[in-house]
Amino acid sequence: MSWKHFGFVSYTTDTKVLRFIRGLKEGKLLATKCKKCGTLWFPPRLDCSKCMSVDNMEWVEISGRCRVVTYTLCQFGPKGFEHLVPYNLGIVELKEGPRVLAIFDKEIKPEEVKIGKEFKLAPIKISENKYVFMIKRLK
Amino acid sequence: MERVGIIGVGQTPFYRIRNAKAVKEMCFEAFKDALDDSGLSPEDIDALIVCSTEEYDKQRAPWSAIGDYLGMVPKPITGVTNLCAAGTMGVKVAWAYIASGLYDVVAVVGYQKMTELSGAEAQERMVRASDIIWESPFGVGMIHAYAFFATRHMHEYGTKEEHLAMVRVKSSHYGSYNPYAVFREKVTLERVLQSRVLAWPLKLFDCCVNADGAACAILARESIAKKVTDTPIWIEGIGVSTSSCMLSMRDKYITTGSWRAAEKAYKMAKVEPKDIDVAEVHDCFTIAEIMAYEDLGFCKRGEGAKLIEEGQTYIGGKIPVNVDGGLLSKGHPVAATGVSQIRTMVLELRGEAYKIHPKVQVDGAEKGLVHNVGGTGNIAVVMVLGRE
Repeated sequence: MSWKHFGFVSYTTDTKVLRFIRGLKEGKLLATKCKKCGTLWFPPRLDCSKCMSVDNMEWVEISGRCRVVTYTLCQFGPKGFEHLVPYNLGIVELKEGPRVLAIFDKEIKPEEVKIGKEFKLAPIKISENKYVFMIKRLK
Repeated sequence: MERVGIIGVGQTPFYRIRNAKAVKEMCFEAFKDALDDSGLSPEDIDALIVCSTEEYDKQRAPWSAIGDYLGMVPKPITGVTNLCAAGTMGVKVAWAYIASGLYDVVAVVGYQKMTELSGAEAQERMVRASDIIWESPFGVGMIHAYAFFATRHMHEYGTKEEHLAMVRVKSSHYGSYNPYAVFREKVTLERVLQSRVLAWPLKLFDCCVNADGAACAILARESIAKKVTDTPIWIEGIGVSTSSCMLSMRDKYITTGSWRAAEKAYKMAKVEPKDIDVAEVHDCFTIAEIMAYEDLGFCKRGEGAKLIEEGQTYIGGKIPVNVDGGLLSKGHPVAATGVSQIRTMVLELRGEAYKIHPKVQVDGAEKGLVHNVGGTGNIAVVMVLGRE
């Protein structure tokens, strides 16, 4: 397992949070919660910059319920993403608090994308051994 | 502490297409232009600072190859990199070198030759300016981040695509006077609005273009500056701010965070936004200029669109901004940009902007501001310059 299994294009291999990809495989969105200061991290990380504790996190599943904070409707893709065009990107705020950048499901039409609208961040399989999370309709 | 003054500035034209000049040859041209402007000779320079966003270079350790070609070896040479704010960061380092007493006269050369790479290669590098674990895998480039800002700004403050287009129209008005600009054609509001959507709400004409070019500034301690020129331009305030690399970690999506840099620069210079007579801001995208108006305090938060709509950032308005055409018209040779902004501001404050074009001089300008943003606000440098 390496970080090459995450995302449409992967730029690196090594990180301490590979457990996250196993979570996606199991259909779960995993965040980390600092055992010392209680900070919830999503995207997850094992080093806490709030209290400086190292490798002292528990993995917790989050709901994926989220609202759109901002978005863009892309008619152009940088190198490696041309095949996705047109695609829509958003920053969403999770019910649990943290924000995350993600891509909208192709099924969601541009006119459905609105600031404040509720969606669900969900794990998906892109291809054999390639996983990502995606902004999907609530049901 | 002695003040630090800018005593010479120089620049090459900015090129959109390959111009048959090597990086070091463009740097030589800008360095020579600044030396001529200052009246100094190479022997008078104590140290050289070379600014580049090095992922666009083919040459490894470009500061060494360039320093060599400029005849600066074996003097101290420093390489500075800082995304699109590398140029002003180099000027800041030069200021610190002189203010600390380490050197008396320092030359700063900023350059980029974007045509060293293909457009696709350059874009691939821009995507890697996002967090490569969590955000680059979604193909987030500079344009997408600024589109996020534009969408949110439109939502919160009622800014419209027409307002974004007005920024480009102003840019093209002044760009048409600048012989060094890539784009010299005036464009209409309709043409900007009808240009191809790249990342809604941003269209082709909302974006600056990559370019090749170099610029140079020479700085000296007060006692020397006053001997060399009657019109040294003093660096009166410097502020630097950073915003998180992870876009998801930003506190707001209506700012690059450069207001923090502006506050520090104003405080150090003991001035307020209303004291600024002319400004150069980092308009890599049209929305960036509207956010800059607000971050720099030229208007209240949320009223940037109104400022451009009322024409207040043209010469004759409340605060003329980017009267050299800005990045949108000049083009954006990444690390040259900040030094080019410094050059324009020095010429404005000396009353020598006629060297660009007589129509771009802001008469009687005494205080100028330079705003240079790296990435999507990852870093921002704001400088207040003034003449006696």
